[in-house]
Amino acid sequence: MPRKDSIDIGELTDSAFYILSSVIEEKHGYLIMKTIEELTNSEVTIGPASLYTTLKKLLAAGLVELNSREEENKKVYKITSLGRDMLIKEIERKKQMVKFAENFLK
Amino acid sequence: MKSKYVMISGFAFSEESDMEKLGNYAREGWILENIVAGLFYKLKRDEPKDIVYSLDYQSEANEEYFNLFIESGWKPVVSVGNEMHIFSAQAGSNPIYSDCQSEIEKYIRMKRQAKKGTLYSLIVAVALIALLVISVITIRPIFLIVFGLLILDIFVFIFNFMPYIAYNSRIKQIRKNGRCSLNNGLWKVNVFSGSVFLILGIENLIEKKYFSIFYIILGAFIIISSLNGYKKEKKCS
Repeated sequence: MPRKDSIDIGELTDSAFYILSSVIEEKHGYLIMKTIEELTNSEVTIGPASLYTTLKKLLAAGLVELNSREEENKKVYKITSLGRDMLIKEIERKKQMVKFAENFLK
Repeated sequence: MKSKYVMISGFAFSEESDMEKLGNYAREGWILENIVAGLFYKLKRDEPKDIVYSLDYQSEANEEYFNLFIESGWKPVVSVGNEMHIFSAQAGSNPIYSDCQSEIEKYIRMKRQAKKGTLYSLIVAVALIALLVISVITIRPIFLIVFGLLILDIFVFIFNFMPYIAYNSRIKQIRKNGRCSLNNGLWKVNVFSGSVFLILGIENLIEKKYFSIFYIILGAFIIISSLNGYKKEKKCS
């Protein structure tokens, strides 16, 4: 039974969310992993297999594109305008979720 | 240089236990060097190392792919057919898959392949059985040839269908538990199919058919590998 891809139904997995945010400024693969690890104080780490698979999916969905310029033979990834729209939508959705929960915690 | 060969238990069924086994060997100073004939790990005598092994399936593996692993501390050890890749890293390194959504993809790709193989070999089997029936009625001389092909095809079918079941159950487990657990009860399927082959083999042996030996070897092999699964399950519980 084919299962709907999370990107197709307009949702980003947690890893996809972190990766997509970090390529607002273009980066090569390893820098994406390092940036996520450093900015989250190692709370979030992305494994190489997860990064490769997720990047491939983001590329196929047109949310991320490759820059023609390569850094030391490494591919450089950058968010597309489609990816940016999706990210903003996802941030709004997450904000709503947090707001909802906070209503009850106050 | 001293080398040692260790049988592969089949990646679809016992990926985790095989990787664990390789790690244990490395701590004793036997380091994975290669895979021989798709059946054995070739281990080389070296300094004992505290390392862990991980397996990934990736048919579109390129320089970029391997660079990502190397930069995060995972050294490529051996690749089979640019499809299956084994990496090693210092014990305690971050795992190669950090979330289950992407880990599921790994098995979905393999499941699709095994499914294709299962279907094709099944179609071939049906065609061969039809041909077999025809040969019995009209063209006797080709009977043995067709029969031989059918036996071969049954092997192809089994080695696609069993992994298909294994990958399927892995995917279900990751969806259910969020992680692939070692304890998957697949050994029961193995005991069953192994017994079927043994019975078939013995039955044919009584009728003095030479190919029965294939069945018996296959049956014994499957049952032995299922015993490993059983032992593991006992250990876990």
